[in-house]
Amino acid sequence: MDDDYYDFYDDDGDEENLPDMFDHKRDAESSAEEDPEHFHCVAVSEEEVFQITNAAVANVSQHTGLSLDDAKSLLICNKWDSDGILKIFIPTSPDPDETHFTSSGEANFPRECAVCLETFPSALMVANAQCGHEFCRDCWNYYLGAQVEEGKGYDIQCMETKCAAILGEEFVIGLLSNSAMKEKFRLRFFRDCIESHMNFALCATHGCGRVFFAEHPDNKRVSCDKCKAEFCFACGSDYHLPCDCRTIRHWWRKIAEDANTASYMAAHTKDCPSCERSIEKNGGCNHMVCRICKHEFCWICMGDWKQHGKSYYECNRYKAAKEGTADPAAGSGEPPLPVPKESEARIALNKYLFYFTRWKGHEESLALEQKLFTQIQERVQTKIQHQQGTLIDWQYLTDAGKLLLKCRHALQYTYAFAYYVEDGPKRMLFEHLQADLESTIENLSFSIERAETVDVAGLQAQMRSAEFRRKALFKDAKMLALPAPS
Amino acid sequence: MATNMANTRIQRELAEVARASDSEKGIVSLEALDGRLDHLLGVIMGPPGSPYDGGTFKLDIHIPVEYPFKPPIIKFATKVWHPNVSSASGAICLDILKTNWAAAMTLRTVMISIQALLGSPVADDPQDAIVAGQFKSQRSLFDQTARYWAHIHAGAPTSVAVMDQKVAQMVQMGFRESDVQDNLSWNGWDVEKALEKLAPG
Ligand SMILES: [Zn+2]
Ligand SMILES: [Zn+2]
Ligand SMILES: [Zn+2]
Ligand SMILES: [Zn+2]
Repeated sequence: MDDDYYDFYDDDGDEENLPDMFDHKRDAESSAEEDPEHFHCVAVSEEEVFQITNAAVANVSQHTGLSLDDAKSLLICNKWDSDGILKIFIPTSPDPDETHFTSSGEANFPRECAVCLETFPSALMVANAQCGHEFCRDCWNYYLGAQVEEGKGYDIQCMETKCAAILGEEFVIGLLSNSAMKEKFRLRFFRDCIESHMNFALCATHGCGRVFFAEHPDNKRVSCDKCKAEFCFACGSDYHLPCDCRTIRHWWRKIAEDANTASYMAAHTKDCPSCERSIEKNGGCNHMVCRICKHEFCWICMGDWKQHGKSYYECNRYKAAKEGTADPAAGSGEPPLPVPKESEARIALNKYLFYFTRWKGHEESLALEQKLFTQIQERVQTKIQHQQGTLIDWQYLTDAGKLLLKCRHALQYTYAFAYYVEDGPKRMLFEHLQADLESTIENLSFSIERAETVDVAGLQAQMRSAEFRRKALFKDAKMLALPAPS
Repeated sequence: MATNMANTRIQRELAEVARASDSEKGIVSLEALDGRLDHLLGVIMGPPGSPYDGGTFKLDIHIPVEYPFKPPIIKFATKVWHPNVSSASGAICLDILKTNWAAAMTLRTVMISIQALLGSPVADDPQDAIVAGQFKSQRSLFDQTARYWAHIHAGAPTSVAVMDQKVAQMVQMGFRESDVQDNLSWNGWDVEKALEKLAPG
């Protein structure tokens, strides 16, 4: 019976008109596979995170002879690339001088702490096992407290001059005397573990703390089950497919600069241009180093610092042009940057305005439709209270509202994407598919606003059509390689 | 506790520099200003063989409360023409004064590092873009300007005759000597460009 019914619809031909009320399971599976936005990740508990990370720590510790503490720090520094570490790790025999330095023969001699310059009996001195450098307990405690206060975690260095040793988690906890400080450090260290590990993502909502795990990490959507936020698994910012993380950064920066250059430049945090983590500027120098990936870049122009050595005029010119009150040494004497010819500049501006207007338009529609979705849910509640059907009867309306939001979001981001696609036939195809989705979405939006008067079958056909077009557009976007934003 | 530790350390460090200054020719002195241990004056000599040779350079040193767990805040009080020092403010771009500071470092080691920086600039880590650009592309003009600045600001014995002439020529036109020196330097000793900056339009 069901089969007959199915065949009847199948004869209809067009794939997008397949009814989805039959064979739900098959439909869910196949659509998951063919949906370019599909992504599988799961929320994990702190214990589950430790299960995964501790296994890697134990493995590296066993093969290198490092303590668990040091192996963990090493893994964080190397983004948990165990194979990479084991490939390059050469076990070193201990330096005879260092051994002498910490040998028990001198254990009872009073020693000077190189930080407070006072002399202590050896029992009050504490050495970091990794490098052998020892200081008095009070100095360690004060130093570590200040570092934790500054927000440091895995990246606290030894106090000795030019010592590159990084202090391990247990070593630091053992020397901190304040329990609130211990907790702050433990949390920061946990975050460092997550952020340096490509298979984990921390919920983007400040203070939510939910951790997600993905076997195959990708720049796709995570929906937090705890706080309901949606964000990109790879970079933690607002979900942005079909744009990749780098492209959307560029776009956001562009529209922010356009809106208010000065206030954007004055902001205290920016994202590392290499790994996209948010970092904070805390000194006067513009030579920045990302805590996580160690990428070096310029705070003013966000350009790679290495290239900067050769063309460092750019920043100062930029500064002089934008701020006016720059260092008088900067900006004077050199000819101004070449400005594109009037017509070129106008063409570029018009192109930008074209995509920006549409981006903005869909953003506003999305906000309105979010309100509409809330209203729909309220209406459904009222109807159920008045015995006009059950929750199941009205499920299609809630689904339609959700679908509309998803497609609208997708559409908004395709305008940022399209801005970067190179001219040519491929671009024309993409924009054709985009226009298709756009008109379908506007129709769907119109129908949902009048849902009670539109027939259910008609609305469901529109929903399938929208889904079909969204997938087609994203599939096409996947095949278009964007040029690196300049 | 922190202030106490900072004070105790600074007192010991002042004594250390006083003891070592005979042997360490480059580091002349380190002294507290107005009897305060949080504002110090350091004096270093320009390294021999560099354009700064014979000059005496003053360093303005502020000691933060968290010292030695936070680095001292140091800038040149004497104007200096160097890629890693701002020709306008004296700010220094040196790793150990920022991220690479270690609590076990002392002011003496920092002053030695600053003196070493004078002798070997790091052009890829510039503090002053104009000076660094000149250092890379017009090395002899850079050397001359650095020597000229060491003469006029740091008391180095030899000046640069051609620069003296250009300055005198513009001073005669009624501009202030220090403005003339700065603007000629920032404009690669091009008198016309410097004039444009000093008297626009
Ligand atoms: Zn100590
Ligand atoms: Zn060490
Ligand atoms: Zn959340
Ligand atoms: Zn992303």
